[in-house]
Amino acid sequence: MRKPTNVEDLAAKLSAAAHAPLVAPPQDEAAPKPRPQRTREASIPVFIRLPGKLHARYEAEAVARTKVSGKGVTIQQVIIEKLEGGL
Amino acid sequence: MSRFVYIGGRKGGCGKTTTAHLLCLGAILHRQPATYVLTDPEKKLKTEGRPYGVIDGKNPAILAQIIAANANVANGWLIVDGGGNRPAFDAAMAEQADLCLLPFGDDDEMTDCVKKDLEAMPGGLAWPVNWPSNRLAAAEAQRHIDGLTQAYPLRVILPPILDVRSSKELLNQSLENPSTPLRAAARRAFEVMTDRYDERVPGQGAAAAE
Repeated sequence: MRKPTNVEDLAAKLSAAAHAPLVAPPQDEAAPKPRPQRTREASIPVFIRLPGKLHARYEAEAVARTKVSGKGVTIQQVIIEKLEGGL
Repeated sequence: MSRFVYIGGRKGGCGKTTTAHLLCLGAILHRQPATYVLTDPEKKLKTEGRPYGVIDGKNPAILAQIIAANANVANGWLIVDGGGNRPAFDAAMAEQADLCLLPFGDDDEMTDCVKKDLEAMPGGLAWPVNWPSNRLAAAEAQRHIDGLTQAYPLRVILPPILDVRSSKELLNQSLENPSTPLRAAARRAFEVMTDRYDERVPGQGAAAAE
């Protein structure tokens, strides 16, 4: 048994320990960086009907690009790129 | 100086209070004086009908006086009952005590908690308490003891304190006339504890406390 130096010291130590928080307060950390906001150009939804052959061609291209890139490429993306290229 | 035993552990309901009262009763049955000290602010002190001294040590200043005064007591046992969810208090008390006991029951949560306590208190000893006496249940619970003894050799007290229904007497009723099973359990627990005390503090154990 460790001999206490005096009763006051022991009382202060026990009192501090009895009221110690169970979980240590979090360290001061730098504020998290705000995520960059994506700016999207205003867009307007349009419904169009494509001829079957044209749809099949764009669909084949979307599938091929999906396989190459590993990311999903939609027919809509392909059509938009074609339209942009034509301008 | 009387022998100072602290019974701690961060897990509530693991058997600290039951073990403390059981050891006090065991000391009395071995004709050695004992004093129980309550430190858990959430518990109410029951002094009636106890064959041993009962002191309220919930106030840290008073508890410090009790520990300091213990140095002037010639014999006997000072059994201090900790409270759950106070790991810092447990560590501070374990530094002061001659022997620190960490009771745990037969479930995964209690075993995980006692592992943390054994890490936090290098002098502490884990003690399986309220242990199943049924053969099949004991076989199932043995894995908890095996895991701990493997991870912390020589830091698990055996045999366990078996679960006896009459242990409820310790907390709920007068202890003026304890039942025979309770007396046997208290004597046995005290003997097991004093064996470990003698190992830790040679020459200061049960014989010196008389």
